Amino acid sequence: MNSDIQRIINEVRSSAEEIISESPDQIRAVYIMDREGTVITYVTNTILINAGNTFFAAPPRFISSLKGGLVSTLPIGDVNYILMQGVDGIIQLMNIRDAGYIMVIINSEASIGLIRIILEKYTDRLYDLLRKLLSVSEEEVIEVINVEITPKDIEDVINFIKSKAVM
Amino acid sequence: MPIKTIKIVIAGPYGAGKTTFVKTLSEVLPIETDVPIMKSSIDGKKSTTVAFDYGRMKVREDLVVHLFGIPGQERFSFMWKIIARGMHGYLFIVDSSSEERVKEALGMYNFFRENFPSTPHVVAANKQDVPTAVDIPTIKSILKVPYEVKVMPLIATNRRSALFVLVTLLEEIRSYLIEMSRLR
Repeated sequence: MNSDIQRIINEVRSSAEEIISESPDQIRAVYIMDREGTVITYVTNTILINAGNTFFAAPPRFISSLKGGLVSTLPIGDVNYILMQGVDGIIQLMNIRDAGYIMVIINSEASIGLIRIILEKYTDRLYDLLRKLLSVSEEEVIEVINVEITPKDIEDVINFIKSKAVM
Repeated sequence: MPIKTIKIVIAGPYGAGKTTFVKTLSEVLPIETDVPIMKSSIDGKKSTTVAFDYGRMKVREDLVVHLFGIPGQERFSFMWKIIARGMHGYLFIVDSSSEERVKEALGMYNFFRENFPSTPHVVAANKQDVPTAVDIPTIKSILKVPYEVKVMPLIATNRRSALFVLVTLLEEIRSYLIEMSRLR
């Protein structure tokens, strides 16, 4: 089965690599996340990133809480684009039409506009890939459980296991 | 006659012993594990779970237990919630051969605690036969396991140990169901 999932993840990763190659002197890292902020893939620019940098070694999982926090504290409605200045770079985060997020870390504010154009260019492709990923994953994995399980059922399982194996 | 399905998820980080656990159980119990799964070579390990391990055990004509193994690697974390949806309980296996390995499990354990806060579960400290194994109180402390959750020693290659852990999880699920029926 899941060669489809593996293939889609590889395509997402290729897109992230292409984004870096669009501006290799500016983009330090690219993260592609699902709509809950879980990182599906990330690519770091080895020319600009020190291999020992712990932030880049462990992909962040803060996007959903960041977005939720902003929406609840600021009267700005839904958040589709976030720009944040840090000491070591600038984060640009863009919503991929509620299918997920793309986040890049760039070197300087001079390239913010250019990078935004680059990100928008990849939005359609990533949207298609994330939708496919979600549908393939759910198709393969979802179990429909609609009959209520009782304590007696569990008791039967325990007794069944004990009958098959001397504990 | 509708078939009742009990869904149990085997979670834990990469290399914790999830596949071994299901394999050991299948040596003793009539678990069908021939349902299609995918294996591939990643990170030097001979084989790793890319999709999920799957075992099915028929208890009665109308009662089946399904075991799902969750891929431990972070890059498949988007699938964790999808696989876990609708589960009755989960076993969280950690490699307890060193403190570093236990610490590596913290992110995934937090994920499950945050996303499935009331689902019954047991933490199994695997590789307790290794001389450097971390003791249970330390594991509880590192993972910040709630006091009511059991942390049990496990040797996933040992049938008795694997069965004992599975039965303990089932007992936790049964207690939870009894409690829920009282509250209704």
